[in-house]
Amino acid sequence: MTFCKRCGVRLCDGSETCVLCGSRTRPAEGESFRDYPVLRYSNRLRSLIRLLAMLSVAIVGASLYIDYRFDFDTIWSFIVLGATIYGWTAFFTRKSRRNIGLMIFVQLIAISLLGYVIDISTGNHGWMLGYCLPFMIIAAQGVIVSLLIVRPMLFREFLLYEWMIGIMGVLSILLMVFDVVAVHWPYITVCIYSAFLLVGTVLLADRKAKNELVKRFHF
Amino acid sequence: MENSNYREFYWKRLDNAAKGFSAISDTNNTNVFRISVKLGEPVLPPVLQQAVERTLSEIPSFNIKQRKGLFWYYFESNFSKPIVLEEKSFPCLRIDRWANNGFLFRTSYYDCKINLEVFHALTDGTGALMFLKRLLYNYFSLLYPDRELNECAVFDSSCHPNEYDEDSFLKNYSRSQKKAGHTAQPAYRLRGPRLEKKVTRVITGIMPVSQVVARAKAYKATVTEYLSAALIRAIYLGSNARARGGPPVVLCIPVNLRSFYPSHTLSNFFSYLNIGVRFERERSFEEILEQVRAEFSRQLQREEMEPKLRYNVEAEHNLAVRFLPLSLKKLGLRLIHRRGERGQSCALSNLGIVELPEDIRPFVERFDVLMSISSLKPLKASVVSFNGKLSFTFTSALLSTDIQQYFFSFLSGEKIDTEILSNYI
Repeated sequence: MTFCKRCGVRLCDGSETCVLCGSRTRPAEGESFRDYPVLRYSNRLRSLIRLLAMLSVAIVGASLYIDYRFDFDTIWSFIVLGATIYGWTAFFTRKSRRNIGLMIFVQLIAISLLGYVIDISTGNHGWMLGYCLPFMIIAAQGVIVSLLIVRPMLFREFLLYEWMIGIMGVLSILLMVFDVVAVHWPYITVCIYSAFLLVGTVLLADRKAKNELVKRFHF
Repeated sequence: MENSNYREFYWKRLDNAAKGFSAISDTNNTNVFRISVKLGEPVLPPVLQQAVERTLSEIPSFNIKQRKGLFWYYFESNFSKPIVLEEKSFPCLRIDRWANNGFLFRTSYYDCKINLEVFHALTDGTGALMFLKRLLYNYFSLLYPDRELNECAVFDSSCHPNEYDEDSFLKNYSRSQKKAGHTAQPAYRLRGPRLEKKVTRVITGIMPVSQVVARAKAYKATVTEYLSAALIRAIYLGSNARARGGPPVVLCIPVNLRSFYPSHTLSNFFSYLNIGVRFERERSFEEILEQVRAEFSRQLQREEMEPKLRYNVEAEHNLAVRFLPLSLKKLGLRLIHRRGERGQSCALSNLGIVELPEDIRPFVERFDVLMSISSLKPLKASVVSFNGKLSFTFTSALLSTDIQQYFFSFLSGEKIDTEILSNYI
């Protein structure tokens, strides 16, 4: 151990400078010991993220300027902007890879928006809203329902996302009702499919589903 | 089979304090506290892992994970295994539920020390201590299977098991109580250059309880009053006279409500005192202590706790609040919490004297308590005593150690034999 004359205390780790006042200590009786590991804080990840953020702003800014300046046929700079936003969304939700339901839901929304931006930028041919979106909803629900069957113990984890995507699938029929899309059969398909799965979840797992509803909506 | 079926459907609403902690916590305000126990010999990780699993099966209120509802958070059973790791990060960081298998507490070890870090939504210091004592009993029972150790009983046979799970705030609140307002006068704020994000400086002073008690008695004060006055004095001196003529230096001191109301709950059940001293002129330690004692005497009454209890419970049950979506509630609660924190300079938490059964006592050297810092309270202090030793720990995000230096040098000037430990920041 060491002793700090200025503070009048003994230092258990035997350090040569006092942790309180910074003055030099002198040896004292007693064995030294440590109760904490020596840790060094690393700033590298934060610095890298900031650098990438700056690069993203520069790339998107340059793309928007060049596109505006040279007046291309397609608004390709929106694709760059959309892809950058998608990339950052994927980065910030990387920790949710353990929550598969949340990851599927977030990816469904993010990829839909990116696809819509690409469609609008390349002439608005309607392939995203017309075909891709309904089948992406079907695929997302299919994955979650498969996981529910294969791993029933994770029912509580997936049910909320299955319902949210299912309600999205049912409500997507409104795009057809309000003539936003020209092709109708994909939306009829996804609406029937989603409604079937929603009803099936409630009927086949009635106690679990009811318990989950009570928990999620308790006030 | 029946037990696993019950666990699958088990869920629990958060208590009044837990709802607040869940809403206001983020990376900068983690609301995670740590209780460490230093043993006489190095910790064996496989035995510790087994002991944690065994303790979890005995104390099911810890065997949960937190989920988000539309209006409130809630708890449900956790079927994963707890993770026990070597201490490799700064204390009281946010508990990453994905990395921690969903549990709201984290067990780690370093050399001879076992750390139990708990998110405050799960329980308070009393509940965490109960879990840790049971963990120690299980650890030593597994380490020395041939020895018969006195048990650290978790559950009192005189009360129903449901009482350990109850929301005591709701049980003990009454409409006949007076209702408090929630306006807090601004307090002196600790300012100064800070350490990097997520870096916490820990400085612990270990001193003989008998010497501290003797000095407190000489001033006709309790240990908490004495240490509070010393801390207020240190904060004032550390302010370089900025606190003079300005807002008062106010300490937030949590109070265990189990001393005032009958409760066996393992959930949160505490209130707090705001003990403040205004420095319109220089004050001696005796003057500071006199004012602190007067504040304690005035505030540490059941009649003074009741209005706060009523306010918090009624705020939770207000229809407009109940039906507000959780994301909006969080914004509102953070604003209210921030306003409340402006009325406090620092916090001091005293866990009291830890008692262990006679058989286990020889294996344990010391307990320490650490509190997480927050953006408006970058320095906090905590006290715990065991086996004649009192541990006073500062956790700080400030670069300067002036307050700690003033505090410990004052105690050494009072002829209290102090040893200092730190985490080398």
